[in-house]
Amino acid sequence: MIARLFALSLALGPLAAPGRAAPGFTVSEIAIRQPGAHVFMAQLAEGGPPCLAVLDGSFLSFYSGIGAEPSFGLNLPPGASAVDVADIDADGRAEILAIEHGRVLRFDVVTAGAGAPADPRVLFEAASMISGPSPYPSVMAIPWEGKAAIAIPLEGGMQIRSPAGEILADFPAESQAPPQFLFAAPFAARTVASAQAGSPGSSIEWVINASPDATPELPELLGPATPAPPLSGRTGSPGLLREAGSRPPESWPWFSLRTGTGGGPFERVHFALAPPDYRGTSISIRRLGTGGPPTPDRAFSLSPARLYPGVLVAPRETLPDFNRDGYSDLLLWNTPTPGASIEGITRAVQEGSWPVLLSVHLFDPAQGIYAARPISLVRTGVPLSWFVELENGAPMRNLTLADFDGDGGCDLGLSNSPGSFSIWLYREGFSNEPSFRRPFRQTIRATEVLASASRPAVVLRGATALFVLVANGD
Amino acid sequence: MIAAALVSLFGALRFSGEDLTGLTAGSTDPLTGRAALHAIQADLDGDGAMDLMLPAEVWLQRAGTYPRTHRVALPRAGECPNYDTQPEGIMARLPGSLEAYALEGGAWRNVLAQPIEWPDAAERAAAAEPGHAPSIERFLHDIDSDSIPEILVPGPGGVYLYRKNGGLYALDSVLRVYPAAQTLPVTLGVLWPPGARRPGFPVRQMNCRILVEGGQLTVLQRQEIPADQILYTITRHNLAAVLPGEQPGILDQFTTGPMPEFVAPVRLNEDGSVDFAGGDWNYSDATPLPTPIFRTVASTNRGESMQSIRTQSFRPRCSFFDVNGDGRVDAIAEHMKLFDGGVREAVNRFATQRTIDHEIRVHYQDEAGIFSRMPSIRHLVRIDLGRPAIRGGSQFEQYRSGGMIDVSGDFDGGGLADLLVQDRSDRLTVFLNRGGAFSGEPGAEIPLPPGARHTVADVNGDGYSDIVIAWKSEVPESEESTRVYFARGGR
Repeated sequence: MIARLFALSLALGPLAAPGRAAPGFTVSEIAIRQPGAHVFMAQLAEGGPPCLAVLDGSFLSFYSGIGAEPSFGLNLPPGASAVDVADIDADGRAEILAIEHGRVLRFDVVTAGAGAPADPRVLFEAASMISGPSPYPSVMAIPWEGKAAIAIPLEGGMQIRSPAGEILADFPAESQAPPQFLFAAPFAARTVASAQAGSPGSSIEWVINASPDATPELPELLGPATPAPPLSGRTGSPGLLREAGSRPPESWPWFSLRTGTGGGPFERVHFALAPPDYRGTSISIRRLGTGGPPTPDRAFSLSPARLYPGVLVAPRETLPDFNRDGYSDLLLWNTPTPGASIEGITRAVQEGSWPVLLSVHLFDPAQGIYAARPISLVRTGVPLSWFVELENGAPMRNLTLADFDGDGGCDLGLSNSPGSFSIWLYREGFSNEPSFRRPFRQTIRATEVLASASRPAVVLRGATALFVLVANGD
Repeated sequence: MIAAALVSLFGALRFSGEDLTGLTAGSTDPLTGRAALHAIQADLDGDGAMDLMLPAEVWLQRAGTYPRTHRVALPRAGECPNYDTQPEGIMARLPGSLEAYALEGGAWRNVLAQPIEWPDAAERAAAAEPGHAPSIERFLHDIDSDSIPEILVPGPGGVYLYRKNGGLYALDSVLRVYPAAQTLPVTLGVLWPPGARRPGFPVRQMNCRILVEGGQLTVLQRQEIPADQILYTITRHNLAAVLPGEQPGILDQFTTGPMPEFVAPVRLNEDGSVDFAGGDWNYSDATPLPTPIFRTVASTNRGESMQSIRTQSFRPRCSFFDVNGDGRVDAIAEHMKLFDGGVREAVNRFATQRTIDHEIRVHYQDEAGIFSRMPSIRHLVRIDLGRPAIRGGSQFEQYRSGGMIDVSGDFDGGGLADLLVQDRSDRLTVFLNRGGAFSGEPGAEIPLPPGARHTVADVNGDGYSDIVIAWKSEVPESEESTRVYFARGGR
């Protein structure tokens, strides 16, 4: 892969909202050949800054600083299936581990200008169960009794070996642990009601899904167990949200009221689109009665439904807590008509931007309701045609709620044209103008936010390039 | 008594409307045009007419409809079995047992009761718990054409095949036809931050689709490959010749070329092989407005080449159906004319007009499996949304989701697919296919209750497509009502 990297520092205008000034963002562009290239953070030197690793097919490259050329890149051998970056020999510098056809390989990291990478060394052979058409990141290097070791998943469980291949421990896969993924049920067969590949009436068609492997229970000493994320809730299609309004609030889709584990998953925000226009959202809040720990069978109270103008942006992976008080907040979108005249509307369309109004309503724990007045209104615009094909129930594309600048708060990012991305940083409210907006040469198809030591890396995925945004700091 | 029969009062076609609340239909499959009736159609009383087996009762057909006086509760329904139909009646899979019943004089007579172990025993036991409903899923199939159906049940180790021998069914073979599990290419473990690194264990999954048809069992396995593409490996087994306790021989196996990830296996013609089809959205910058383009994609040669048809701003309810009745499935594209013309024109339409012009385009498939580049049929209809598109609302949402146009029904039994349009919130209109064109004059008009959705299916199996209409009243928590308009041919 030929990766090109260049930095563009953007000077940003002052923000209207009170509080600290927002930082600018530095943008780097990394060309990729595979749209599904893996991007992850890695540390090449002990105590050194984190760098961005890109695994594009079988080409692995590192970008150790924004604005720099890739510091290192190598082609993994054909058949490589898993890749890790960690210090395996305690020399303070990271090595690259890869599994290739049952062999565990070690590559040395060679910084730019220090010559071509050396051939890999075979550490040992092991019949790993990791396989696939192209490699993907996998944690293999782990600390074990004060030394570096390598964790290898085998057919019968996880095996811990020294870098020389000595077996240090085995963790057999004895039980069917709860699946990591909801769809990974041990076995499920579903009859297709109306045959798709066969003739109706004279054929039987099944869809079979199975996740046949038992999973070993790994001890804490292999690394801290990942805490279970807060239950985000149950959402639904726009059609379901419209239908929900005719049912009682307890059956509406919902998301968790609290963003942490406090209060458990039992306090919920139920929501439905309000007829007849479905341009408002009815909200009913289910809270626990007082006394005792939260349990599913404790008494709940469900607040009367309150109507908020706009369509709720239903939370998905991230529960939006803009003011960091531990309670989920509401983000709603609405579309005012851009002027009363055809001329005004035409002008809005010609500018490629049909108005969209985003509003934030904060939860008031004392009152137990969402504030009637929005704390922020963000005016933006999207192509008119995006209203025809909504994405997750909203006309914006790539709507991302995440901490973009590393201050621990929840910010807002979205595309309001196919090849652009805008970020609004939350500073006791959102400013009307974005903190960052930039056009790109290609359609932004997806976003990822990678946590780093200080400031996150915001990765925008195009078809042939990744655009990496990092906040510059105050 | 069945509610009032209602005959359409307009046009060349006759429909009679019957209230059949309890019968439900799923949405239309966009790749086959078939809607899943939540019922099995079979002649259970031997009168030659298609009866309906619903999850809790059988509706017997009389004079082309299903009178309330001819409904029979299913035996053992309280134990929530899995029911299927066979030539002599019905069969019920219960926890640890199998029972069969014949319908005689309006009552069930038990003709088989035997113990048997099922591979999905835990599922069957769970289904028998209170709060569950019986299921009507096919498990009977005559694999060797001896008029005695075999039982096929997928289980964790394979497909369990039971044969009837000496009057009782017994396990014959476990057909180990599932493909090997594949490792999911997802990041394993926690990579960052360095202090929180932790290894993960790979997740392997086996996903496949299995088709049992005639004496063959076909396994279709999807495999994701880089660049958002997929391959399918298709293995056909000779089920008819499998001997007791043995595995079926492989008739043939092939792997397709790379295909877009959104295609799925379908049957597009009668050449006996599996085809592939699907559709996805793109955006065009060629028009004054950045307009979404829907691309319909099909392969009739095992994925070796893909044919595509592009249309503006509309995903049809059904993209493939045999419109001209030649046995080959044709491609259907629809064009929303809302954004046609210049910007000002489009805006004027969007902001002020309550009607939308909509074009249906049919591309015939020829003998070589090629879809015509230019539409073989173009037909323009006007749909009244009741308010300008800019104001949204349920009508516009229903239109946008493809729910107002259907080209999967043959209402006059002529062997050609006719056009059904919900051209107003309170009306469905049928335009008959006159061979090469849809009629410009309505063949029938069907009234619609507020908020109703419709599905096309031949409910009574008489060769005429019927229209299933379902709606809920505005009373909260009210049950969904169903009315079926049975097509009765021309006047």
